[in-house]
Amino acid sequence: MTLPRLLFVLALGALLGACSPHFVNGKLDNFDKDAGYRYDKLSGEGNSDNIFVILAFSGGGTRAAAFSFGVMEGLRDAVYNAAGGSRRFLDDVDVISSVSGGSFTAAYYALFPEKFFTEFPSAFLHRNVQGDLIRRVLWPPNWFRLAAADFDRIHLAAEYYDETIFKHKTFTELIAKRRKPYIILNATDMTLGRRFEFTQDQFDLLCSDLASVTVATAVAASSAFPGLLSPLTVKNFAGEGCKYERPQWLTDALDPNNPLRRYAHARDLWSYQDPKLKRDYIHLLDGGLGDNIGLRGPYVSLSGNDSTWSLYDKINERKVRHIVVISANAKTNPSKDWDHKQSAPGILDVLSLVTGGPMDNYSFETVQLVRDIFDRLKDEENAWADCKQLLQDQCSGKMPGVLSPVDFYASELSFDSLDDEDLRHCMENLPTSFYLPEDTVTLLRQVARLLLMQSADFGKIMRELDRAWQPPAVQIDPALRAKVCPS
Amino acid sequence: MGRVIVEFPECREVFVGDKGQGNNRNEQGEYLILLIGDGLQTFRLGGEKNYTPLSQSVQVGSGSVILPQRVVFHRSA
Repeated sequence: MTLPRLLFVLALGALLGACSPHFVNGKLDNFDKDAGYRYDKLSGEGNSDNIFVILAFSGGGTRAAAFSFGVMEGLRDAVYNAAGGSRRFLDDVDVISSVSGGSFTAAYYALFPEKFFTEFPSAFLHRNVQGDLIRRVLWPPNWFRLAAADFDRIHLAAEYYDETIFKHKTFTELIAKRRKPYIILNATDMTLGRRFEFTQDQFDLLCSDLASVTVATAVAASSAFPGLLSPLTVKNFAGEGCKYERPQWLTDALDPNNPLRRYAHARDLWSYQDPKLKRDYIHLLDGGLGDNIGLRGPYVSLSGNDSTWSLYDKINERKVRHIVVISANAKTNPSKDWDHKQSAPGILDVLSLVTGGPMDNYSFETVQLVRDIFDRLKDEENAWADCKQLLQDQCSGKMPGVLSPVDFYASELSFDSLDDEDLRHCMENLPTSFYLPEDTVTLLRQVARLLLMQSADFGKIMRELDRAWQPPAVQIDPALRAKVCPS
Repeated sequence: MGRVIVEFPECREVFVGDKGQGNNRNEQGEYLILLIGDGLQTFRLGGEKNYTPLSQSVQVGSGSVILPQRVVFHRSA
């Protein structure tokens, strides 16, 4: 085929494509609360809810993906003696909630658990994703496709991830696996500025079936950094109906007499179904804009009954004895020299602060909120036990009710915790991009494992499971370090 | 967060907002203190519908582990 003819065919294709818009998501004909990708449809071999482990993976491009991968390697190597023999702590993970760069790690593990540790580095971490994406945008035939109304840079990215990393897998594969952990890939709803998760619970509100959506699409939405990638648009089919039955907890939460946080959350959720708002299309951006550490979803489950996998529900059912939250936060803290100069910072510095500053503050707030919940629940448990003892000793009385003890463990793994100041400075100044040299990736993995093994709360839960447990030695390779972080 | 006990003469499964919360009592017949999110919550019991009211909406938030909020169901005649 000659070049002009090829261009004609491609242009025609683009025009036809523009005439019949395609959506990344399909319609759900009949709502079924027991079908689709949901926590309670999954199981894990020997993974009971007794130890409930939540991982949260932050954003930060390849840096975040490598860091979270290193945490997974650490969890794989954290082996303890259980009743049925030795067991990897990794196999106790129940939920992984992720944003942006962290979503690549989470999604790959969910789809390919058997080859995760051997193939994820070559499939993603060592790949120049950024360069490949730029090449695709610059490839002339794609210009015609990009000219179509319903095809944008985000679709090109999703297509690339689909072909090269996630091998055309859809959520149907995750449903069929029925295997924990439950993966929550988070994007941000541009209108609400709040978290939008790729789960069937969320898609029910759109009368849409998540099963046919490619995992690559979800990861692309989760990592659609504003400006570099366009927003991803999903169709809201709620106006066409799917016999959706609003759960009772959502009806209760929509009462304005609720605490403001609960009411606002419920109103945001209901906005997808509310015909008055006419939200026919939902535009999604990087999950890091709504929550840059992936902990907001777990926070909802840790702080009330308004979630399909509420930890309150599980505590009440006496299913949970230990709750563990491990947050892999690859945030940086680039050195700034503004305060050494009289001249005001330039526009790029201001933009960087405006886009990143509030996000970091909000993330810090979420970590603190989770810690506060844990502290308060533990304080209450201690107060109850003291009071019970006092009543027995002083008045031979009984408490009005019985409390089941639950232990809480929260590990926030971030570069802040590195004792070695030079290494910390080096890690905090790594760039955010979808390409890092292989040595940097390897160093990030070592740092993540080191931080995990040094975490006090992680050590506590491991020794709770196995008194004799000792953290495996993790060394930072001095040669590697010298190469990546020259002094 | 609110602490609640659900009173009924028998051991019954408790539902809050349609989701199971385990039983209201343990094997010794003692009430179990439930952990419930603050705000409006709809309570009902599992098993035979021989109780009143069949469901009740309650503003949760006033109970503590020492003095849990009481949600009372009666056996119907």
